[in-house]
Amino acid sequence: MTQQLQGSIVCLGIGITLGSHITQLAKNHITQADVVFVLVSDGIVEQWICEMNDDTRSLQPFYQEGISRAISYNNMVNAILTEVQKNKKVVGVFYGHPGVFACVPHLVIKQAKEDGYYALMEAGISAEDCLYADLNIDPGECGCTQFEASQFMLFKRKIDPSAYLILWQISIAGDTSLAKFSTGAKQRIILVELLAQTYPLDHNIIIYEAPTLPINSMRKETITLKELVNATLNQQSTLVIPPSEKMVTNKKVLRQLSEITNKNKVIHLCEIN
Amino acid sequence: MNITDSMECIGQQPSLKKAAASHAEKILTQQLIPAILQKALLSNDKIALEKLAGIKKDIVCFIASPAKEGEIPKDDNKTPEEDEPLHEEATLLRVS
Repeated sequence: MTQQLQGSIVCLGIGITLGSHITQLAKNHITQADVVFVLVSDGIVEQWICEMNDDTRSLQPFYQEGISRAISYNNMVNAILTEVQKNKKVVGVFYGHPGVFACVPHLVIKQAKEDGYYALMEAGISAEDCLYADLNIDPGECGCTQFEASQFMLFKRKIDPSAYLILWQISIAGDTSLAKFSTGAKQRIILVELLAQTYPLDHNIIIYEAPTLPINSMRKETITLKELVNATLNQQSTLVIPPSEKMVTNKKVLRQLSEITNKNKVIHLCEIN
Repeated sequence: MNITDSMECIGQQPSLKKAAASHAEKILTQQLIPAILQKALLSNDKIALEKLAGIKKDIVCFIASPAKEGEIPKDDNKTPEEDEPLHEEATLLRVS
């Protein structure tokens, strides 16, 4: 059995809305840590975390427009692991869920475990969770597929028009440089054209934003697909496309299942007789 | 009580989420939220709140990469491969 080193890392999510989503466990991790690294979506939220622990360090300075996010993320990982290697109790605080649309917590935990340190991820309430509650959508009702918007554009992905389609990070859709903080109408035209291969241009779609501060309201703006090109989008904006078609019954599978049921009935009747 | 403490307190108040403005003001007063902060909160003025909290920097949200570094197609001006037919319908929006 390999000996566990003294340093540790816990990556946790504080949810989306300040004060409403944080767990007591997360708070205890933050207040008891030697060092806290924080990457959140709002300046007031960042300040709130800073006030919980005297040694709280923002990961924001690693972001710089024009510098590849791949480099920024590597630098964030290195900054966190350097403190773990000093045998400190380190906590990484991320907004939403630390493991959803966030590579840094995954990379940090993987590397720390490989190096023999205690590493753990604590779940948080994600934007996806808020979306289902705010928009009154049950993903189990007719299914739901979701992609990162640029990934959806850059790779050939399959859309099921009878299920919800959610595209995350819509404000930077089509960015291949990994160095921009937003993209514009030109990229969105291409996205709309791609979506128009499945959905009518007058299909209603929703731009959603979960509230980060308890005073804010969520954004639920219904527009047509065509209007997406000139819509106002922020970093927090998510695109939700409701189904445009009804689910189609798979008659072949239904027949196969019905044959099993009928066979079982015959077997059951034989056993009774 | 400072701003972030006040915000945390508000975030945990179920009554405030559905309260009308006049009632919300009453609740905030009961919670000893300073008047200047109440005004910013009730008017949903995020800029005023950030000013009160002394926040100056812009925040960048976490931006996930569309794929692993080596998997992201490069914009190299080459024509698309044969298995990627050019979208003739690409003019759809530009024309309309």
